[in-house]
Amino acid sequence: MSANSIPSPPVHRVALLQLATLVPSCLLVWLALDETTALSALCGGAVAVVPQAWFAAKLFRARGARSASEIARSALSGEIGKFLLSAVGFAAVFVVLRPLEAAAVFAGYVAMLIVQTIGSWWFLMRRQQKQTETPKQEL
Amino acid sequence: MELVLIAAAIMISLGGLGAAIGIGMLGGKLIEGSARQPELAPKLQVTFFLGAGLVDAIPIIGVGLAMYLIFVVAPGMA
Repeated sequence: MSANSIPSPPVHRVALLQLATLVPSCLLVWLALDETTALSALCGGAVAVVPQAWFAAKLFRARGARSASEIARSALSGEIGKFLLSAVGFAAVFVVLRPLEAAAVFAGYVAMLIVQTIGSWWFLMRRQQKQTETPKQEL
Repeated sequence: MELVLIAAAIMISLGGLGAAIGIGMLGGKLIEGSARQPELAPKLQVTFFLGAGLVDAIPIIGVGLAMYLIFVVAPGMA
């Protein structure tokens, strides 16, 4: 199977799922608690979503066994970018956002990590399951 | 106050070290697995994506805590 014929996994859906979870949750927090907590959680969530989307875009640029070394290289650069984007994101949030609720920033970040893990597992494993079932049906 | 900056530096450096070791091991296994069984390469790439997300979560939270220490707890020092 050539690398071009391997379909790209739906990693963009994971980022969309994260955003679809983050924004309504922050609106609920705004209604239930206050604006500062909601904005802090939103910023913390955004710090998780944007670097992860960058990493996914870099990692799945190349596909297939023949591109294994290229995948490893793009994973390395994607990981460096993710680490730097996260550090800059946290620094920007802690410098710019006033008033700040630090616990809400980290809560938003951790919540998006949980959504990312569950969402990635759900989307990607379901797709793989479909791919393995399709040839059996054709037979 | 200097201790806060030293703590932040230790958090960032050890977090980066841990993430580097973890991602390096994952990447090495990805190449090794793809070389052994090329037909499993797309599945391994997806598993790598899931694993990498989990491996670097804790170091990045450490970096976030370090940024909190630098810019909120000891803002005058930065």
